[in-house]
Amino acid sequence: MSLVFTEEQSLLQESALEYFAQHLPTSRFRDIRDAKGVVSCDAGAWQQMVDLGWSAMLLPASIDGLEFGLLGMGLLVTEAGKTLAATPLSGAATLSVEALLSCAESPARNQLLREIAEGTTMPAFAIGPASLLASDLKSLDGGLEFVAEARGADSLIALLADDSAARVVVVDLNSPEVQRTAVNLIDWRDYAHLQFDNMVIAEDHSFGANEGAAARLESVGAAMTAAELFGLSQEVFDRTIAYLCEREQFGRKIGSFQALQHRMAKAYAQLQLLKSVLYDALTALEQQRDDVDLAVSHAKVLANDTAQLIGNEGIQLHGGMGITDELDIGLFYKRIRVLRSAYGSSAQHRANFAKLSGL
Amino acid sequence: MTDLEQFRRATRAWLLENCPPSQRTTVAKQDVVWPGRNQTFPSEDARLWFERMRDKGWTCPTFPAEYGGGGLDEAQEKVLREEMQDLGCRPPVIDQGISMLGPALLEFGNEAQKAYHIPKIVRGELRWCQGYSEPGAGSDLASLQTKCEPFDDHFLVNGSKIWTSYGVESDWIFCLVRTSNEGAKQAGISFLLIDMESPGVKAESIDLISGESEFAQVFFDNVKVPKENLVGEINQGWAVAKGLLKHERKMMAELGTGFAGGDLSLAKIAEQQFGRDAAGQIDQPEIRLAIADYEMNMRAIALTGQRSHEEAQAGQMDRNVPLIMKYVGTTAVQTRDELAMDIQGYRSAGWHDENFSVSELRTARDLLFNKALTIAGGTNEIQLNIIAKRALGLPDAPAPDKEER
Ligand SMILES: Cc1cc2nc3c(=O)[nH]c(=O)nc-3n(C[C@H](O)[C@H](O)[C@H](O)COP(=O)(O)OP(=O)(O)OC[C@H]3O[C@@H](n4cnc5c(N)ncnc54)[C@H](O)[C@@H]3O)c2cc1C
Repeated sequence: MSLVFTEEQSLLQESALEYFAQHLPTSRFRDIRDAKGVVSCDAGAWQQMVDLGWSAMLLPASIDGLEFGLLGMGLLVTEAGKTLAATPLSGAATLSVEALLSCAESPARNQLLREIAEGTTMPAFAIGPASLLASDLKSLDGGLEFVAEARGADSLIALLADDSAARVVVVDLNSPEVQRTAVNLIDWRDYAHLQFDNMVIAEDHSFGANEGAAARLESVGAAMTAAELFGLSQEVFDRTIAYLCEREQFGRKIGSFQALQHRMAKAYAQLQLLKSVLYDALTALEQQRDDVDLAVSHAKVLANDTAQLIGNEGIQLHGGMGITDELDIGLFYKRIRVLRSAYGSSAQHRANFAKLSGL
Repeated sequence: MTDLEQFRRATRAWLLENCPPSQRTTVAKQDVVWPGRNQTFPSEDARLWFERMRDKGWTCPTFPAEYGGGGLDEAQEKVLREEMQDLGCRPPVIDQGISMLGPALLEFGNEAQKAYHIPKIVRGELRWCQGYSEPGAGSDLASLQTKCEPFDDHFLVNGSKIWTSYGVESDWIFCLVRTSNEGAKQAGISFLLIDMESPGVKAESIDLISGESEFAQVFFDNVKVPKENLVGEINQGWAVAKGLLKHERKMMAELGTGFAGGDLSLAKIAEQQFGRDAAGQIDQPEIRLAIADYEMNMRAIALTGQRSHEEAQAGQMDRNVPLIMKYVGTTAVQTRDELAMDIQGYRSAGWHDENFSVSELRTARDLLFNKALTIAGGTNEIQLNIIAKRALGLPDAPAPDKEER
């Protein structure tokens, strides 16, 4: 069992806090947005994260990886959430790596893993239907929607699965056979629809994945999303507490009003529950526990619902300021609204939890 | 093998040998062993189990051996608790002397008080109750008014306590009394031990919505109390009360989780009521998801308890996390009780009626009884006040002299 951080994990958290505050603070998100750019990870920031070792965290030691585990990765993603930092930590360093690791070991696979770890490629990741593949498995035809980080990325690692089989394919997103259509969402982040036109897949870029790969990747995606939602919630919570201690009305700090104190106390309780459930889910994934699907569905429901609660309270308790663009609260709120739909809604995960509990 | 592992083995072996099999099943209310002047036992096995634990000092595992206690340190006590839990051993006896007064006396009592009272608590010779709340002083406990005047060799006590759990059945009561009206409310309170056989003490039971009457109102009419029964200095009782509150909350938190659920899970009850559909799901989608929510909540609470424990062990204790446990635990239990009734409809609403099964009859009783959980030991609103203040550092409301229990 491990619901507390080891010393290494605590140190990692400290360096993440420092890194995001210094290099990717919320003001940077705002600067890019105000310049009408899409908030995506650039090669420079990715290289910094590579230098910190974050791209190699999940790789096995046999290919120079750090074997740091998903709890450690989750805490990085949480810290990134606190400053609205756009990173490939989830798409490239976690999901792409996990997808490749679900395929049998081969020189080509290991080479791709190394390239991610070294930062020479920055792939986006998507899960799609096996029907995108031609029957000879040698080309791709059809589309994928709402692929995160697909504009900033140079390649795509896709897990294509149906009930009987799963394949991992790697394609060059700069190829003329793929059309990228930018999709703008309220969170101003990098999404695109991808359309493949009989795109040929290089022979050494196509791998058979193991049986449970699709389910595991869905779970890893949900857990990473929950980790980011936890960071967003924590940050909105802290900023709201600070405002309650500063803003005065009726001659007193508004934080002294009991109606508001109780709302924040309840939100705090929920945040604490989320922390425990999230760490448990990440640990379950890391240790490949039997109850991993249940643990992850629980984490996503609770993360969705806690982030919604705290996002709502955050805006409401800031009063009119809460709905201005000047304050960051709205930026966090919009990210929360998008992530609630990523890797499964509350309704889907609640139903899954019920099913897995034999209800 | 470390000393602690050795202790664990020895403890387990001792428990296996000494705890009768009948004492290793879940405790119903009528199975509980209480201490007292006129102690009775629900069964011969219960008596044996109690006496064996008592003679080892394990009715009070952490009390010093010189007073008859078990003399265990915290780590050993935890091992004992874990082994008892693992083997399903019942608590050998339940008493507020053990859970609350004893630890407070060890901290604040003088040598004579410890030497007289602690061994009696360990041996279960007296049953204790807690006289804090008054008709006019609940959450605002420090406004209590039970009057205590000093005379040569005794105090004279007049007034009344209410919501005294087991006030009718108990032998002694530990009380907060007013010894001064000067200065802050908290500064005129003293902590007094009163023998309930003293002339002028009367306990009247109060009927509750659950049909039980576990509370009493206790009246004091010119009750003479020897001066040696004052714990701590005069007018310093609030400090003792606060010290004791730590132990009370700890007990409440443990109680809260212990109350979780009757003998049947919600899933089982719902399955009996609605059956399952072709896909094997409980054939009532709204109830099905409501149960899932309840189960998620209980799972989150259990994991948070575990996290808090692991943090403490790793020396990374976040003192604020335990503050939420009473609030989230007690509300979850009440949600369960409500759902159980909603699922079973009329069949859960029987009252002393042979047309119903024992477990059906328990459903409404549990709900009515557990309404107390969010009130006792500091109401949930007071808990939220405490979280806001201590964990979140939110500013005080204007009336500054309010100190809440
Ligand atoms: C099962 C049980 C066992 C008990 N056993 C004992 C015992 O053995 N000995 C003993 O001395 N007492 C005992 N009590 C009494 C218990 O401590 C009190 O009931 C409790 O402190 C609340 O006081 P009250 O009932 O007077 O409610 P009140 O204080 O009158 O509260 C009424 C309502 O007002 C709310 N409220 C009060 N103040 C505030 C505030 N500042 N902010 C927001 N809301 C507020 C409360 O939350 C509650 O909802 C027991 C109670 C129960 C239910």
